[in-house]
Amino acid sequence: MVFCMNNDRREEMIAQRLAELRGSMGDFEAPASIRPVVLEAFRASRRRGPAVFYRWGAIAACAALLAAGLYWAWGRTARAPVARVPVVNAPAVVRNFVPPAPEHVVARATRPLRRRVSPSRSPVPQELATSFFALPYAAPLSPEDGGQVVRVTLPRSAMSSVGLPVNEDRWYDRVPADVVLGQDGIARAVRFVKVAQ
Amino acid sequence: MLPEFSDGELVERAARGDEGAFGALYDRRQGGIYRFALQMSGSREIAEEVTQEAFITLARGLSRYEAARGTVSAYLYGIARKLVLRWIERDRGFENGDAVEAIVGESGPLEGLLQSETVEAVRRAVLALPASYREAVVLCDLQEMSYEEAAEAMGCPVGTVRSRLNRGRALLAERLRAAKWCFA
Repeated sequence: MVFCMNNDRREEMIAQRLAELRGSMGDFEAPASIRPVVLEAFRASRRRGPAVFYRWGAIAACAALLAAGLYWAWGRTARAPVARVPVVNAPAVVRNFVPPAPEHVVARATRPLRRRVSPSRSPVPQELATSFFALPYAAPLSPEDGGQVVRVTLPRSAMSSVGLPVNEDRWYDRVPADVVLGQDGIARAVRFVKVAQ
Repeated sequence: MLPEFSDGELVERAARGDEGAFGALYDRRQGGIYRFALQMSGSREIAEEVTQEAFITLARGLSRYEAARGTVSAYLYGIARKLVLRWIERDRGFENGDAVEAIVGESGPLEGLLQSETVEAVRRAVLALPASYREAVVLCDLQEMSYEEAAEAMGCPVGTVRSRLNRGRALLAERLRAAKWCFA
């Protein structure tokens, strides 16, 4: 009777039926058309190996070149505040350059501007400067004498003394200027600076 | 000469570019994978797709196979299992067995009509099982895998395989009893 069979008998019958099913499909195989497709995929994967290697190598090389270019450009940008000051005919006595400083600062030793400054973090006002004008009645300095550049402010009228045009309405306005001082403290040259914020 | 190598050795050689080794591995394992996919899906078309995709996946990822994590056979069945479950998920029609193709008797030797009908009924009952129980029955009872190998292929503990197998067999018995094929 169907409903009186115990579990063991049921398990045995199930196993028998499954074995019949297994036997009926025992010789089933994938169609022969699949084999060449699979082997072609295998060959393609072997060919692709070196291609992938070279492709990633090329990408890595491009990335390295790009990084080097950005590093170089960033370095140039960081040095730009100094380089943008169009100094023409600067006297040889100028060994150090003093960045914009308060008016009352005089003759302060400065350190070379070697440290890179990120333009985005500390914006530096751009400056336009005239060339240095030698002051009359002062002995010229040789490179061996050395000297310092100090930032001062002068009345605009001082610009006329070196032949620069001055707006009459702003005759008494003050303008930043860099003065070259010799070791003896005597001014030898001057240039006028326009600070653009 | 190649048939003397184990599956693992064939995979190693294939990973070094030996096409003959890969071909030998295919010849050795394609039948089982094909039958597994056929028993799981009930469709020749799906079985062919799964077999092809499983070996292509193996070819592309030979270096990913780690012998310490299981046998090549279990690895292959694991790939095929994922593929066939994806197909079943895509086409729920196979879950209830309504769209199952008539397979038995087409390729094998002609048997008695009653036996063919019995086998066909068992096959349909297997296909009607929920996928999680079906794969346990197919792997352990039809593919004659050990519990450990089936667990590797299914990606679950051995205890889970045992429980799913027991539950699958019980469901199978109920369905066959309802169809009066098992204990008549």
